[in-house]
Parts: sequence; C-alpha cells; structure tokens
Amino acid sequence: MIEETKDGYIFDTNVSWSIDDLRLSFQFGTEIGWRIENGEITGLIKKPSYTGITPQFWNSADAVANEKYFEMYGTPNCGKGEPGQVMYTGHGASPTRFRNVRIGVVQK
Amino acid sequence: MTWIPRNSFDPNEFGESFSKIDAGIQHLMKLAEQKGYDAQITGIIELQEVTRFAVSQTTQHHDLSTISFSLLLHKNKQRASVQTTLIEELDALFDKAENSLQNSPPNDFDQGLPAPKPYNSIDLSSRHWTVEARADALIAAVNAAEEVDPNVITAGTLSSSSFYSRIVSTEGVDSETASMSNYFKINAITGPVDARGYGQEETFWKNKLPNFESYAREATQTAKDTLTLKTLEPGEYEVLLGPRAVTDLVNFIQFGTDPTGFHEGTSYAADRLGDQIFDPQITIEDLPRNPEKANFCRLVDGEGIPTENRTFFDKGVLTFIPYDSFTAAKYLGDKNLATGNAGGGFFGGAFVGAAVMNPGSKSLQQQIQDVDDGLYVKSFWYNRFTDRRNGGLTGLTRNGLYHVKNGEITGAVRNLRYTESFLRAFEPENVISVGNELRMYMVNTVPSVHLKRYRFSSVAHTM
Repeated sequence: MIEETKDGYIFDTNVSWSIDDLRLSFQFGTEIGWRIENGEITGLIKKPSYTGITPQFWNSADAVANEKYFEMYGTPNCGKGEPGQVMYTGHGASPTRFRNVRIGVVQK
Repeated sequence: MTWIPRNSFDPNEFGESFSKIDAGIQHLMKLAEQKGYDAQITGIIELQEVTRFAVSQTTQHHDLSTISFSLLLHKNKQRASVQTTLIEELDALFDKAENSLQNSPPNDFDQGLPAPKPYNSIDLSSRHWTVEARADALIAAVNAAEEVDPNVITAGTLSSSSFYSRIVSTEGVDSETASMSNYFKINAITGPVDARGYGQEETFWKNKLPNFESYAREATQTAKDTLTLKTLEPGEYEVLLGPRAVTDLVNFIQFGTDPTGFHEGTSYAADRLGDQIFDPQITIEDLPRNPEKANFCRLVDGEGIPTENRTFFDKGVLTFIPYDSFTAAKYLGDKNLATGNAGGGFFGGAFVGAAVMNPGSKSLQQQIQDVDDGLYVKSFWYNRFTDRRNGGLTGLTRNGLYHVKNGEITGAVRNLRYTESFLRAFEPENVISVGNELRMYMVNTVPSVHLKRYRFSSVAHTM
C-alpha cells in the first residue's frame, strides 16, 4: 500500500476523538504520522489530525491491508444515553487507505 | 462552632452506614499494622436521590446509596491502591492490594504517605432537595416550557447528592469531609421528527434555589429558534461563549494543569508558572471551601490533607500548580508540600476541582449588544485535546448557535465544529468582556465570555 501511494501520509495511534451526535462530522487526532512520496516514506510528522464526514470518508476507502495486518482494538467500554449506560466494546481493522481526506495540525 | 460532616446525614438512615465505615477502616488498619505496611484507608458513603423525566412526565424517582472503601498500601517505596463496594470482603481487598504492591516497581523518590495537618472544619452543607420539592420544581418547569411552546417535549434530571468520606492513615491522618450538591437539567425538543429543534439548560446549585421556570423557558425558546437554521461558512468569528460553553474550556484548563504534565513538559502550563497566559480580565480561583460559589467542595482532599481556597490564575497570570504527596515527593523533594488537591481513591493525581472564574461587569444582554458580527455559542459538545502542549482542542457547538449582527440576534445557525486552543482563545487582547452572572457546573463556576476571534473549522451536520 505504501509503495502504491504516490502522495500521501500514514497516520497511526489515535489520541483524541470528537464526533457529533449524528456520528457525521468527526475530527481525530493521532500521535504520529509519516509522509509518503512516490511510494517511499520521506519524513515524520508530529500529532497530525484528520477530519471528515462519515459516509463520504468511508466511501473514499480504496485499499485495505490483508489479514496479516489485522489487529483487534477498540475502547474498553463506551457509554451513551441519559441516564448513561456503559458496555464493553471492541473492533478490529487492518490499515486502510482513504482518498482526499482533509488533514491538519493546530497552529498556535 | 466546628462542623461535624457526618451530622449532615440522617442518623436514622445512615447510622449503620457510619458504623460499617468505622469498623471497616479499623479492620483494614489492623491488617496493615499486623503485616507491617503503611496504609491509607478511605471509607466513602454516597447518596444519590434522582428524579428523571421524559416526554414531559416523571419516569423515575430513585435513591442509590453506596458504601465503598479505598485502600492504599505502601512499603519499601512500592505502593498499590484498590477500591471496592463489596464491604463484606475486605480481607480479599487487602489480599489484592498486597499482591499488586508486590508486583509494583519501587520508585526511588517515594517518601510514603503524607503527615497529618490540622484544619478548620467549616460548614459545607447545602439544601437537601427532597423528592417532593423536585416534583414541584418539575411541574413548574414543564408548565413554563409549555407556555413557550405547547408542543415541546421535555426530558431531563433533577437530583440531590450527598458524599461523605473518612480518611485514616498509619501516619496519623484521621480526617472527615462531606459535601452536598443539587442538579437540574432540562432538554427541550420541538418540531417535526425530521427537522427538530433542540435546547438544553442545566446547573448545579447548593443553597440558592435557581429559577427553574426561567431555565425551562430558555431551553424551549432555543428549541423553537433552532427549527430554522442558516448555514455559515467555517472560519474565524467574533464569538460570545455562554457559560455552558465556557465551562468546557475551563475543564480542560483545570485538568490540563497537572503536576506531572507541568514538570515533564506535556502540559500547556509547563515552564509557565508566573507567566501572563490569559487576558487580565481572566481570574480563576480554586475554592473548595466556598460552597456558595463552587460545587466540588471538601474540607480535606483524597489523602486527608486540608484544602485551601487559592488563586489559580490572577488577572491571567498562572499562580498555582496542584500537587498530591506522591508528585510533591517526586518533583519538589518533599511529600508534605502537597497542596490539598489530591483526588484520592478512584481519581488519583492532583487537580483544581473547584475552579471559579471571577465575574466581570457586563450582563449577557449587554455582551450580545456589543457583538458587531459574530456568533453566540450556548454550549460545546464532545470536546477533546488535539494538542495538549498548546491547549489545542476540537469540539462542536450544540443546543443553540446564533448569528449576532450589530448587537442583535438575527437567527439560529447550523452547528459548527471548532478547532481552537484555549491559550489562543483567552490570550491577552482577545477577551473583550467577561459576563457578570455565574453559573455553577460540576467542577467549575463560570460566566459568559466575549472573544474577538474563535476558529471554526467545518460545518457540522446536526441541527
């Protein structure tokens, strides 16, 4: 996937999550990123973030890594509702490539 | 006269609970002494009396009373902490703590548990909001909401909470504290199913009864206003933040000022003690001993160390970093430089838990009239750090976003996502005014704040 990517980034390890109550507009911060140019990693990026609208984002996926790279993640629990209710959660994924995603880093 | 915290609880109802707390503490202390451990034992009683309503009717009155114990063991610079509500299984709790300690790495800097300090026991009690009074308040609120819109659907919570803890340690600490707090929240929904308008108002309160009808009318009016929305492009706007929006930003300031982050360079406050970080109109105090102004009040912290009222930000200058005994030992070299801000038990760490932003001189109406062309944000939602070191946050507006032009509200706006730093938002020259009316929330009490600019990064797709 990296070799096939001409101009892009790898983002890894989500550190912050924010999404609206219809689960549409989201913005996630990650711990680390790498620049990809012409199929090669050319640099390191600190704490990049990305944002999007859920259906458009997921419809822009055009590559998913194979089973070898699948890992189970997810938050240990998640709560919603009034009164609040909590349950265990978890989900797995492989690295996935998305096109035309808006990315940015907060500037002071 | 010295206030005795446990006297705030009905002895007929809680006499047995206090006996269990005292007996449990005694039992755990005996085990610790027999086995040669330093120990800090906390016995906690919590009572939550809650009324919930939905579709404008009461759905539930319930009382939940729990007793719990927290046990911290220390030996040879190793420590472990466990908690339980299974009060009949304290031997098992001790075994777990012992096992955890034996598998914990020692910390060279660990000086053990803090020494006791004397303290004044001032009255932190507040009005007990009975189930009858909550029912009356609910009826009044729903009636007031329906005067604004007979088709409104209301839902929410009214509650009265009481908390007691006794902290005892092998160092000689034997401290008690108690606090009481009341809470009101009303959600208002109106309009057709596929195009609803939403409003929400909430507050904590202690002794002074809030005007519940006024909150209900305001939530309902917001719901009506947000039936018709215009869409504004993201960008930087002049902004008036209502108290419900300000409280979220101040939460991040409070919990972002932790001793570990300060000393290890991950906090916005690192290397900035004594700096002019915010505008001089921003003064924030930590008032754990002022139940008229702050919700999270206590006589002693989670380690049984006396709390103090202090200035946190003095005219925008950071003047205080909180420490518990563990971080005081690690970073200051003396466990007894702890500041009385330890979370203790379930929370751990040290934090400013009773922040009060001093009010300014302008009413909310005056602040609206001062807005040239900007946004009035009633509340934020799902806020998260994007850049902890620089106070960077993201979140969304919710339950009321308005366009204000030439001092008048021109209409409701579709919710926006913001990506902004609280350092930038409250920095010198960016604060136009601070409102004169405070509203109490869980860990802070704040006014409205008018800012020159605030950055919104995208349109949200909610109403």
